[in-house]
Amino acid sequence: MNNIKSAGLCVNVILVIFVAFAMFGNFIIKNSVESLEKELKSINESINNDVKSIHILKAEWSHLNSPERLRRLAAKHIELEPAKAEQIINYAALPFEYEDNADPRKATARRNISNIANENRELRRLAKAQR
Amino acid sequence: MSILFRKKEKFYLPGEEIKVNKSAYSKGCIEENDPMIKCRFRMLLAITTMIALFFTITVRTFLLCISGYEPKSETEEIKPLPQVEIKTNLKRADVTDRNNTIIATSIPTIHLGAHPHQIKNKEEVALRLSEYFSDLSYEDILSKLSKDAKFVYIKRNISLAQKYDIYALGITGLNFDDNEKRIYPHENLFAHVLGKVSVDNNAQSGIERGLNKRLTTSEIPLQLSVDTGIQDTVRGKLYNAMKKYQAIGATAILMDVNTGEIISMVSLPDFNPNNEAPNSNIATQKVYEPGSVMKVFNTAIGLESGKVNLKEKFDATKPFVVSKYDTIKDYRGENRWLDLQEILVHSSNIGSARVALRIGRDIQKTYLKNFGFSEKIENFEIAEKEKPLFPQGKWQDGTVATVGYGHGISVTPLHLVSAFSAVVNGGTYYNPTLIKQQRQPQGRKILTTETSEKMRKLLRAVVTKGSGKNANVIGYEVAGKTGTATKIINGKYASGVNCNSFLATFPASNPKYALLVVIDEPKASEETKWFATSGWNAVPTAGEIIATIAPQLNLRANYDIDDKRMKMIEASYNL
Repeated sequence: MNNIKSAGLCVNVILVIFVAFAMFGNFIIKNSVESLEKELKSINESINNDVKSIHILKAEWSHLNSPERLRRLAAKHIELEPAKAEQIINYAALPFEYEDNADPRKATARRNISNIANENRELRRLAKAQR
Repeated sequence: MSILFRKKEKFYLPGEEIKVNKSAYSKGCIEENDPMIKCRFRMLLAITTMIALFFTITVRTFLLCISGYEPKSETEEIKPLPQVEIKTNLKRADVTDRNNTIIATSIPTIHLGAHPHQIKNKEEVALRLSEYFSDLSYEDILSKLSKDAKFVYIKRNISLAQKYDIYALGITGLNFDDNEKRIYPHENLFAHVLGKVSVDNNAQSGIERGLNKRLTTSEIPLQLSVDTGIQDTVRGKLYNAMKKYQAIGATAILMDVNTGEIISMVSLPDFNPNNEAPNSNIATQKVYEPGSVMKVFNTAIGLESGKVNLKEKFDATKPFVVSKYDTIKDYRGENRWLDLQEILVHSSNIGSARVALRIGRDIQKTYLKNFGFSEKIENFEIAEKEKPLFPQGKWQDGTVATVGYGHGISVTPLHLVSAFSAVVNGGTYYNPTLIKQQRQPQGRKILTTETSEKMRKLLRAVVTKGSGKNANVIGYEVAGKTGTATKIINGKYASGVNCNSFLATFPASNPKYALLVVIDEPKASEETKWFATSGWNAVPTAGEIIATIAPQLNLRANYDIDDKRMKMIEASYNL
């Protein structure tokens, strides 16, 4: 009789311990889930705020990139003008050094091209010196 | 039984009184009456019950630890796990141009309101708020707070930083409503394309109204076909022209002839959609008699129907009396027989009227309907559209002749440029659209490729030899037709009050774009040699626009510094 009682008690104790462990485990899991949910909520909130900020920044960026402002800045800082058709010529039409210089338009084009090349070279040199 | 009634003994521990006296067995106790049997049974029952109970709890708890979520029944919806959410919570989607530059967006704002009955010291609150918001006066705020209302708005669209500042003032009875504000970063630039929304974010005009459902049901930005850079150039040039020629209005539409996409659409005067009320969109709402630009379609119909040919000449020696009421004259007429090219180059009304009558009313009507001149452009995305005034009933000869040179019929600039695209692109009509097309749209073939090719050559001659000379941009092979239409004021043609148009395409050898410039009531000046016709205002404006935008559009200039080759290029346009 005592043996049965002892065995029963042992089984009960073991089960109680199991229950305790399982409940503790459950508690831990629930707790971590709650904290993860909290974290997720704060991440979502922060994402939401970031998205809103990005949205505002995009609007601001678009405003700063308005052609009118860029044109004003370009006029102030760089000496560029809209390209014209005359500035774009076919490769075949490019004059070469060995060609006869009789055609004044070709000579002008060649002079222009060499002037532009010199200017670019000078600009590159200045930029390098500045760096 | 003797055990039960035995002499009471002294106990030291609880429960010891029921402790089984083992000596009872040795004294020959009868087994049937043995209380131990019942006791053992009860204990076994209790232990088994407890084991079963704890076992169940253990198993269930473990299962809870390791199992996932399962719906209780088949009908129950599966609850999704919480996820990382990237959403803007804004009600209207952004609008971008064809290069993904944002041209309309919404930003989160807050409406500051108040519950007047919850505010005790209204004067102090009004004072503190007026000190914070420099644009709100003390009297205004106080009058709002003194209203007998449950809730009043004090200031709409304040920023998050301002909200926290007001929080810090510690005023009770104030209320902050999350809201959004529509912003148009480029201000006037896309005024008539985008339209605007009201203070309550209700769509009022433009794309905002036309595509309201799309913008409010999807977060994906809406990509339009317009180009910010081109739009800015076109608007700038048009604005300068309007000032220079002291016009009351102007519009320009640039269309991709091979897709129907609108690259730029400007109507002046415009408005700042951020803070001004919308005004009329000339490009889609102005129904006007287009004048001589209609000769393009008249000639195309003649060639397509085979009723006229390029070599045939028409009598333009004297005014053409069509009926008792219709006598057609030429403006600075040539007074000789003209072929089709000369009719266009010299913009002969008489020649065009003769061509129209040769075509005949039925064919003319059918083709004009094919060009879309009889109906409103239904699928166009913006809300403000008008129906052309297409003559109804049976057309008399007078109507046929006058429609041939652009009178007696009224259309919108959008109708003109869409139909013109079909004339020059090989004969396919594409519905105009403001949405960037991801694939080649389906067009409607209305002219043959041969007719289109002939028309391009005829139109090129107008620019090289005729009234379009001022738009002959070197390298970009501009072809087009001018139109100077006298306006009808109070039911009568008002002499000297014109609405000038220039329809152009470039490059003529392989058209990519069609441009329409309309200038409303330009004034003659010394600079224009006291002329106010299209060639002196709409044409140079179009020329300036094309010269600037063609390189922006990455078009290859057909230009050669070699004279011989340049002459060969020009010769390719001769008929």
